[in-house]
Amino acid sequence: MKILMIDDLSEITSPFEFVFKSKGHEFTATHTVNDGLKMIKENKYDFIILDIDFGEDKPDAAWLLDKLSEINILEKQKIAILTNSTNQKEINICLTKGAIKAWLKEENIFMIYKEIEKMVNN
Amino acid sequence: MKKISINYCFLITTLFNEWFIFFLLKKEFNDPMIPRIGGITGSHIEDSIISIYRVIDKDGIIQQCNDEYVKHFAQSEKEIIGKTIFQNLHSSQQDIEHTSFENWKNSGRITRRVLNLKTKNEEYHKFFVTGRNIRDEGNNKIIARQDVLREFAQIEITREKLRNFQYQNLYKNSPDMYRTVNSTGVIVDCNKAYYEKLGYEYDEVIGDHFLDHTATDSQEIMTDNMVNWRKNGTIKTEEIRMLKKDGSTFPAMLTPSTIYDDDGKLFGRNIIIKDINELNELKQELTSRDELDAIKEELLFMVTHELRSPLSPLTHWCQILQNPEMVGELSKVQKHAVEMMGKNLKRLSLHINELFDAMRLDQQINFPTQKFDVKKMMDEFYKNWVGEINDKKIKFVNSTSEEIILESSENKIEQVLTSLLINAIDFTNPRNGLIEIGAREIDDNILFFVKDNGIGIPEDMKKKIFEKFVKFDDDTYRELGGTGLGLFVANGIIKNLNGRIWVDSKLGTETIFQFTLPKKFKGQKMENVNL
Repeated sequence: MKILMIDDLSEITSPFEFVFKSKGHEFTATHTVNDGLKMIKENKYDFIILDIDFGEDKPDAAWLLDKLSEINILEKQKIAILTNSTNQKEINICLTKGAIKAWLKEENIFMIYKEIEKMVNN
Repeated sequence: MKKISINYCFLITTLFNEWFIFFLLKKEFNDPMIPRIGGITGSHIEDSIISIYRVIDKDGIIQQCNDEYVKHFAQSEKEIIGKTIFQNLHSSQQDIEHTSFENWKNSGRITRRVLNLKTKNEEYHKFFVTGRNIRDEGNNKIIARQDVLREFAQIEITREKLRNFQYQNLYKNSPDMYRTVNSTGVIVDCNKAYYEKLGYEYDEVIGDHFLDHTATDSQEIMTDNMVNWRKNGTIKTEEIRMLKKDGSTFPAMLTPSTIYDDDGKLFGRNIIIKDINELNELKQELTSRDELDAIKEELLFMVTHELRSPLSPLTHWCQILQNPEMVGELSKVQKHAVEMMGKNLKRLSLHINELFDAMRLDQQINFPTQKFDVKKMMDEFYKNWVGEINDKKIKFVNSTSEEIILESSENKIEQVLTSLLINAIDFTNPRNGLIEIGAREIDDNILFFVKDNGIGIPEDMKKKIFEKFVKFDDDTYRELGGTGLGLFVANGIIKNLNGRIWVDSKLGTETIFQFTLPKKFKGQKMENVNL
């Protein structure tokens, strides 16, 4: 699998990087939404793990989903939200804009891995 | 002769209305924008008003009066101007009026009084008399006084009609303020609630104009209201500020109704006045509370987000270290250390969730719900805990056997089960301890339970066990940790999921926490969300 994870904190992405790479998958982490957008435009990923909030006044998940929709590549992507936020409104917005799944970051990492594997293979 | 300046432009358009003129005069003398007299100069008072006016100087000499005054007391203005105010006064009131006059000269205070004055017909009539000071615009000293006289008989006629009016008892004893005004706006009656609230005695109120009890910033709206009522009979509820005797004001809701006599002739208005201060305060409080709730919610999201952020890499690395496929076999000590970290991270995560939920459970929360397999969830839950519980030499059993599909919040149910299980672990004796979990279908509900053979819960604690911050006083319980929020939150979550939670316990024998949830949740559904 070719995975892209967009999260502003490297300490969040590093255990995922370890798990995916250990299982033989290609994994890239990026820490800003703008970089994420650029990478999605240039590459085809099997799955994208996306944080919601990237700090005040910075492009967030909803912004990225809108941008991908504008350039007609959202449909080709499988994007899931991974967040610490329990703000349901924020999550709902992302699901409405095209994210296919939402997890809390405290979920078991292997459970998330298994679900991603399943979604990519479907 | 010294005369007073009056704003005529306005008067010309509204001369038909006695009350309106009165208002104007009142406004004139109170309005700091209108040049004040420097000595008594200017025009004389408008002729066509019904109320009776005169202006007297500090010697008690009448310097000016209106036509109504002339009509009542003399054949012509000449007979009045330059005469003393005591001239027409009944002999029995001379002393009182002299005292009142001297008092005004010395202090500027004008006493409201009923005077027996001789009219031009040589008959004595009673008049309510009030007044307003006229000041020198240069040094602001009182230089004269404008007296307003209202015929007692006119007021009495209205009052007599009112005496025959139904529901007098209701009027008099109502806790709401009632006042009745005649067609010119003079108060002819009021109830106890009214005069007490405004700080007056009953007799002080009768004969006052209603504007005397209206705060300055509400006088315009009341003026318009009165004009409209007189012009076309329209009445409407108004929110204004009332003026009390001590000068303070309060917000009030005025609901007027027109009163007609037996001939169908309009003769006044009844006004119900409600003090809406408390209502306004309540409104303000609710607004502040809404704002506070929004801030609280925002702060809560921020704090829990910040607390969870460091927790997630710790938890994930811990899970990785516990997986031999990832990092190989750990030594005994390493394995123990990682297990301890994992266990405590689980508790920390639970406490953060409890804290977060406890702060928002005072309102309805729509937890995202999905359809899920209960047996699968219970098996997974059992697998996550069996190691830790067995390490404590406690037997752990999952007796869920049925395949059940439930539509609810899987994560929140797990949170409740975790909370109940941690309680069971804490209160179960390691020697021959037994904890059993399970779920089964009962009619349209799913029953979950967590049962232990621990120390049990005292009878008096059972009733308050689901309250916030409840902890046991007994030393046996005190040494155990926890936020004191676990069961409170569990109760809140189950209620929000339209379920019910309860506890049965026998001291020293067993405790069983049970909760039921409807198979099909009727609230907000959200697939693909694990929150």
